[in-house]
Amino acid sequence: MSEQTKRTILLIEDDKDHAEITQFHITDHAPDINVVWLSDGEAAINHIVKEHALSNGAYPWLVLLDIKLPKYSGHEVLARLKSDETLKKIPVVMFTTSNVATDVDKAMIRGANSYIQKPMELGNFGSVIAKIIDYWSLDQHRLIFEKLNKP
Amino acid sequence: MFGSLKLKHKIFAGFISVGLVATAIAVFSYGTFNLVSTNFRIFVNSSNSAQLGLLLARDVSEIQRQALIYTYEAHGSAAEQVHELYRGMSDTLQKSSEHESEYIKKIRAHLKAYMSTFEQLQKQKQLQHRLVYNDIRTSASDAEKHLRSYIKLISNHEDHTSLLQDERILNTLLLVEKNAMRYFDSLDPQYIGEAKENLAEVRKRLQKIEANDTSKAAMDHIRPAMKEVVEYERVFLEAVARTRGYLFLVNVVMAAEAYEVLYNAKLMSAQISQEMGEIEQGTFSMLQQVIGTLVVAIGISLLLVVILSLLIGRSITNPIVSLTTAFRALSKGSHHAEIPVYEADDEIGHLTRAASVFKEKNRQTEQLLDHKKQLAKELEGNKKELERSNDELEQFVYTVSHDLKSPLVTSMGFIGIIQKLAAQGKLEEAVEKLDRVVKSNERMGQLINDLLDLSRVGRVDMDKIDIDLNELLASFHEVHSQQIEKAEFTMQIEPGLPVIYANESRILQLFENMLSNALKYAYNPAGSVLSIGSKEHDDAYLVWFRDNGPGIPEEYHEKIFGLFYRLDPETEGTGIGLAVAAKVMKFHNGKIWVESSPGEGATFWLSFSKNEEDSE
Amino acid sequence: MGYEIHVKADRRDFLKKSGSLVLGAAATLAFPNIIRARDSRPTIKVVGTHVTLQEKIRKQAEQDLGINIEFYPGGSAEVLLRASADPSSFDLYEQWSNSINVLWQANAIQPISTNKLTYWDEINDLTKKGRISPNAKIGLGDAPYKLLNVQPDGSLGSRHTGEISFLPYVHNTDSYGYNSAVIPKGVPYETESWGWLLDEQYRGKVALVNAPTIGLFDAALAAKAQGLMEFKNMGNMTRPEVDELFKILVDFKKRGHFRGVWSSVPHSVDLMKSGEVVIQSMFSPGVSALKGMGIPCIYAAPREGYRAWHGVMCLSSESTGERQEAAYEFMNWWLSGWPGAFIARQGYYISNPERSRAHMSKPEWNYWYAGKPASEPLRGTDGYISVQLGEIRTGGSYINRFENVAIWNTVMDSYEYTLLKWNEFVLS
Repeated sequence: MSEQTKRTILLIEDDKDHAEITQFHITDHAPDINVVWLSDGEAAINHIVKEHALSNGAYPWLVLLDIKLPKYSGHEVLARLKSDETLKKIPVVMFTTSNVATDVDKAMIRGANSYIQKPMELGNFGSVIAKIIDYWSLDQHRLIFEKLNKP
Repeated sequence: MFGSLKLKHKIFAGFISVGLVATAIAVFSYGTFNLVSTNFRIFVNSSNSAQLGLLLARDVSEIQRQALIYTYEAHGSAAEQVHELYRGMSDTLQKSSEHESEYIKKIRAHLKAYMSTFEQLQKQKQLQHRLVYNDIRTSASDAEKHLRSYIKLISNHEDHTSLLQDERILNTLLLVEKNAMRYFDSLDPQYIGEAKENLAEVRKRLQKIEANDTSKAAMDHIRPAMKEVVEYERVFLEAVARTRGYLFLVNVVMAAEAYEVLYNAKLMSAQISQEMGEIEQGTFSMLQQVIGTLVVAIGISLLLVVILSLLIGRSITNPIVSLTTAFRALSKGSHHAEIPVYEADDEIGHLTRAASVFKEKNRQTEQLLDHKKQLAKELEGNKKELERSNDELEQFVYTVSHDLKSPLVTSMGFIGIIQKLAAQGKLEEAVEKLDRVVKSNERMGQLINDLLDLSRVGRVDMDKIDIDLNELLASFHEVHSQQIEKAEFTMQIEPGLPVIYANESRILQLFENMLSNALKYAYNPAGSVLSIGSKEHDDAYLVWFRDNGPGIPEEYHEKIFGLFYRLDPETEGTGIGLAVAAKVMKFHNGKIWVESSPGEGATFWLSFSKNEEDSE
Repeated sequence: MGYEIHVKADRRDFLKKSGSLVLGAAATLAFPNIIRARDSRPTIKVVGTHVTLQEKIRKQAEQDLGINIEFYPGGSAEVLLRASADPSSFDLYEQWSNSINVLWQANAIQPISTNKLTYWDEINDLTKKGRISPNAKIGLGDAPYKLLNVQPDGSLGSRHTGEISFLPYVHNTDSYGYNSAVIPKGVPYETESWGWLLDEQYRGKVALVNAPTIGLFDAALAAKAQGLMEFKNMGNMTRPEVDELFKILVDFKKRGHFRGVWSSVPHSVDLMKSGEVVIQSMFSPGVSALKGMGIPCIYAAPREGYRAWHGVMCLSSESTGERQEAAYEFMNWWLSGWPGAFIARQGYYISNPERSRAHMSKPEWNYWYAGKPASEPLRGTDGYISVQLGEIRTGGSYINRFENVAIWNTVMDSYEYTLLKWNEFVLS
């Protein structure tokens, strides 16, 4: 893991409480990770496009994307990200309460890199977040990430 | 004129017309050829007549020649020839009597006169012949006999001188005969005179003897001799008269008649030749003219045939083509197919009427099909409705499961954090988070209540009554005035609102949702206004709720009526209000929709069917 | 008018019978049975031509005389032959002076005693002396006066003996007629000439009367007028003269000069009417007929003089007794005025005109005899107007015309020879 590249998780979540809980656990598990929270799909898309366009920000290391969002749904945001040649390399982890097959299928077809249901069991939330971070911290993912962010 | 005729009659009329023209041509041709053959017959007749003229001219010359031979030579055969020729000519004339020309008439008359003159001539000639060769001789010899007897008697006692005298009488008497015969031979009248002189001398001498001699011998012989001499003269003169008579007849009368025959025959031939020439010319030019006329007539008839064929053909094919087009259209089921107008009561007329019948059938079929389509559409509508209901139900289940799980995630999440904080000894922080758990649980309760409300729509308190919206909204305003004031809103209700047939509690729920929605999302820092009014449409009353808030982008105009959909996650609410409103409207067979654009405020339209009461 | 043929006073009748021929149908030698045998009154038989044997005359005579009269009209040749051959077949013979020689030679007629003729003294000089006036030409040929008197030797001559061979009565002058619609009108006695008959201009449209004793003289006058030949005595041509004349005529005929010869007055009328002929020998009734038909036929007054003819009434040598007396009565009746006036209306003259004058109106006399213009329309014997107002008889007065006689119809010594020649001419 290169020190030069600060990892940012783009958290796209409309539920303030869920966002707080998620941030808490990310910070708890990996305090180096910067979390950017966006509460709706429109804002998320604008943010990514803007960050890239201005070249003053880095591509996020990981996107945590809820499905049920105001304005643009998580599926729409996913489609937008995965239709861009560059942005599609950013790993997108669907992180949602829904576990219905249609949502899962839709997300996988559109190129979601992972689909994780928000844990409703006491104590699981932290471990799930930890596993996600750990998984995407593996070397092969790091190479992609670094390559992506090379000027 | 053709249009109203039967097909059969048209064809017949065509055939008859062409037939008539052909007949006319045939008749014309027949007439012409008749004329030509008549001309030819005339030509042949004329030719015969011309021939006849030449024959007559030849024969008349011959007949006159024979007549002259007979006259001068007294050959019986010549007379026979004359009669023979006359008969021949009469026969020839008889044959040509079919077309009696003036010439033929004249020729016949002249020939007849000629012949009757000739017959007269024959009689004269015969008489003359008898006189000359019989009577004159008889008289001469009788006179001589008496004289000789007298001389014989007196020779016995007379002197020689007187005897000589008497002998001279005898000689003179012989001279008479000689002169007479000379006349009849030469036809020189000089001999008549001489003969007459001789006779006069004989008479004189005989008178002298008679005067001097009174003897019995003189008595017996001189007187009879005298008598014979007188008779002799009479016979001779008669013969002369008859000779002159027949000479006149043959040379003057018959010659003239013969010439008239000749002249007329020649003239006839000439005229006939000329006529033949004219006929030939006339026939030729007539034929030329006729050929020209025939060519024109045939041309006209061909043209007529073509025109008639076209007319008949067109009058037959046009309707048939139109009918075919019509039938083709009809066979495709059209009932708009144009059926040609055709009045005649013939085969095409029957087809035309058949087409009309087909058209009517097609129209009925079309109606049935339309009806079927209508039914299918309705069925499809029902099916879709059903599918939508299913989708809605699925959505509902999904939404409910998601949104109900969400507070659970929150609760468990905070509790997990609390536990963690507590384990880390950060109790104060942990206690702080307890409130979040409570709030999450409260929210879950709220959600459940809202869902119950939603589920109640259409199931509970379904009685509908006439509601005067003016009154209802007035009291609604009054009830919610505090809430409105608190949100810094002004509510304006326009007069003239309709009376609707609806369930009052649901309508109130609807209005409350509309109000809370407006208060939540339509805040305008410059002064928020919510106005309510209505307008009447064809079959519906349209009630509107208009705000002057930030407006709603068009893409959300439908989404906002979805369950648990919230435009702004920051605002309070479960996202059920507009879904309930939509369901209430649906329950009342009405509709709800929004018209808005960002920065222009939003207008929610509620459409209440005017016939709601009737459909109940 | 030697060879007159079928001339009838009644023009309608005459036209109806146009086409009747010279010798006609009655050309039989034997006379038909007497048609009427009336009563015990004497009956006379008259043989002659249609010129004088007219029914009106017969009836008038029967009425005036109280005798029966039978007419046997015929063509001149026919009647001449009949009379000369059979004197018993008639009492009176009416013909032309040129037949006298034949009849006389044939002893068919007997001398007529002038003592028995009531009007003998009134008969003018034309027949008695040969000249109608002292200025008159005698005319060649058998001028009637030469044949009138029976000479002691039995011949006929001009010396008066109290016996005559014929009763002088009807006579006229003949010439040619021409169609003035074709041939310009000439001046009588000045430009009009017999020579016209042989004028080349009229080739093919010329005709002669079919009689050598008449037509031959027309031709001879024409030949002489044209200067084609001369005659020692035209009235009695020699054979060489006859030959020369016929040579000329045949020559003309062969060149198509002559349409032909005509044998009857109707025939002559037809020829001119049809246009076949524009100039030809003509008789007075033919000219009248053509005028009546509107054809402007002019009866010429040739400057050489007329060819004249004289009617003769002869007494049959066989007529005796009661019949002879009746015949004399008929002869005297003829000169008694009425018949002369009657035939004057047909254009003929009578030998004692003054007696007829009383039977004529003044305009009639003036026109027919005096040669003056008709002061009123004159009717013919048929009752029809035959002379228009103002018309003048061609040739002038009676005297005038008979002062200008070139030749008389004549039976020449060469008669038989001319007959033979005539045949040649006609058929050439």
